[in-house]
Amino acid sequence: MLQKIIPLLLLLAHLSACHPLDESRIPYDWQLPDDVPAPKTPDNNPMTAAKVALGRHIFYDTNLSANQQQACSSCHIQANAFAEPKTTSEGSTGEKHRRNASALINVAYNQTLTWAHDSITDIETLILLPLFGESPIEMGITGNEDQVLARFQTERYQAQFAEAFPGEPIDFAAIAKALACFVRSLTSFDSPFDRYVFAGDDSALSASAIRGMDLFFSEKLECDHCHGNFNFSESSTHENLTLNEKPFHNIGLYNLNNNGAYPASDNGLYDITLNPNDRGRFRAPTLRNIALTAPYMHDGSINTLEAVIDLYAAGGRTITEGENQGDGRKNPLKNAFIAGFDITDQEKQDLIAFLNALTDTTFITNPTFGAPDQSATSGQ
Amino acid sequence: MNTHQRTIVYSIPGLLLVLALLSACSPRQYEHSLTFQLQYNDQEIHCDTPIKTNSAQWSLQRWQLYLYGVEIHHNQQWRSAQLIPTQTPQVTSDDRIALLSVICKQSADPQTQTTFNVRLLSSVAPDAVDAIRFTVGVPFDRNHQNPLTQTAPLNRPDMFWVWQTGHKFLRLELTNQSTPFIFHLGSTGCASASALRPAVEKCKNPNRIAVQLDNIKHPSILVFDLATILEKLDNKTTTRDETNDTHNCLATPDAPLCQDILSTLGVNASQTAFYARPLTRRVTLNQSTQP
Repeated sequence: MLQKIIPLLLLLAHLSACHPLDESRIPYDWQLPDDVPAPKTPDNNPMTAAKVALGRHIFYDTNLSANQQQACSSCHIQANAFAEPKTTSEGSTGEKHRRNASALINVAYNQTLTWAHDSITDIETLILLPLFGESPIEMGITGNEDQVLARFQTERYQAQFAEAFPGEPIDFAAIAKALACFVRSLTSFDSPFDRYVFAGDDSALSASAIRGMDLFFSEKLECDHCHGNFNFSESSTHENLTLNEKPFHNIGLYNLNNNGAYPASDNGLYDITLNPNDRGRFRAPTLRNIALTAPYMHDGSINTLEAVIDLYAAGGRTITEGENQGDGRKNPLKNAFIAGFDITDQEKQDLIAFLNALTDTTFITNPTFGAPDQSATSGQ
Repeated sequence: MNTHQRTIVYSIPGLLLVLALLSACSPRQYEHSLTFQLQYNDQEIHCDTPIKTNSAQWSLQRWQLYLYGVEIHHNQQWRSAQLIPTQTPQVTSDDRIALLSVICKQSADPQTQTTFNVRLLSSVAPDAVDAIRFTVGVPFDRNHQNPLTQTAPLNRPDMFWVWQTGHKFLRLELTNQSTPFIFHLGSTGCASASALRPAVEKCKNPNRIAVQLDNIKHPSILVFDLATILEKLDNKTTTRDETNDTHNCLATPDAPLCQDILSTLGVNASQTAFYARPLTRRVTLNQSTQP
């Protein structure tokens, strides 16, 4: 018997020596709470630790913008849950964007991406917009492709690309895939709410936050109809869910000329579909870390959570002067759930206490999500 | 052939005889297909079907419901039937609960399915069925669990409130040019420490609907008719201000309209404790062939 086992062991040892541990094939460890399912991931870009690590370096590298003035992290700031405190963003050349920078929280679970687009469903595609978009210019790569790519030919980046994408060239496809993997890795499930729900810790929420949570999930306020499920956004999905809904809503933020219109600069989903019924329809974003992501709405036009609650309590926003004046409450395209509600000052405080309990301080301090030492890839 | 082999060969007829006897003891199982269809005044409803009443023209947005506990009546006896797993409608992996789900997209896709064949096994032959009963809802022991760890279709967020109240049993949403109608039915009055803690005891208002359909003639189609609900809406006098006028009934028994509709569906909203009653008037049977 021993005579047979020894050659077998030798053969196994030989095979093992021929196939050293392949870093590019090590699956990514999501480190999720036990009850939280993993997100769906595209077949053509499976998550690996090597791609996430590379994507993190690129995310924080200003070399990705043509004029080397901006990185992805310039508008997606970890301390703000990867949103930014500006009303709307500015590109690398200073050009104004029409929208507020979306927070990058559990984006891996989103069925659709951006504030209002029903066809962009994978991060790899989404990333091409800020990289190559010309209206407005964000990273400004269009026309500067070779110049930008050349910056990633450093010795360190070459090693990282080889580890993440063995045998593949350093190109924008690989950059987009690596960035997508890093953005997918930005998961947040360690708020007091998560400890209350997933860890069963009754002491994780204050009495006020629990009252606010009960209000949030009540049929009186209806918050959870659009900001429901585990990710506080009905457009979220996961690996065990076959539901394929792509909801967008008009919440009565504007009502120009009382015909349902939003400012011409941004009519939401209508700008993609040209369906008149889609005017003013936007995706409900996650409310996780919402206390960190002000200002609110697609155009950053509301500064505080108190003002957001006031809007929903009124059943829409009324603007009495200026070019955007109109009674949003009467917007004919407004979602049926934005019907308004009565709320006391105490209830509002409770609701805000609950929203504050969605803040995940681990997420905004986690060093693996933070800026790496760029000298590690600079080749210097 | 050695002794051992001979023993095996000689044992086979005996085994076959035992199997035959066991088989004879098990009642034969027949496969049924219960066809459910959404209708308005005898017309099948699709997402693009204009639903005209005396005062409005409605269009369908959603019609979704869970059902379980199907039983078939024959020879003065009710017998349990077992759901057969299918993708449409979705059936839980333990073959207990089915979800009928119509969600109309913005484009009002005429192809969206509004007729469902619920397949099941029963010891009663299809042509011997004289009554059928089932419950609209989710049984209590499955209603208040973490939806993230439940199997489909109980993991759908669009049909779940919270741990405390559990699933929406029935979701009906219609729209017209001025005022939408939203009706969500599920258990209410469920006691727990918070919305995110499960009810541990039966809810004050279970709001499950016991449906019994008598005088079945095979084959039949089970119709969910919107007529009486829309008749209630026609008679509705608005109580909200004109800015936010809606016909929302979210299992709250306060509004007169909601009481009427709950009652129409088989839930007596005028009682302090809800109870279920037959839905025979609302789910009517027509003699027609199965599609």
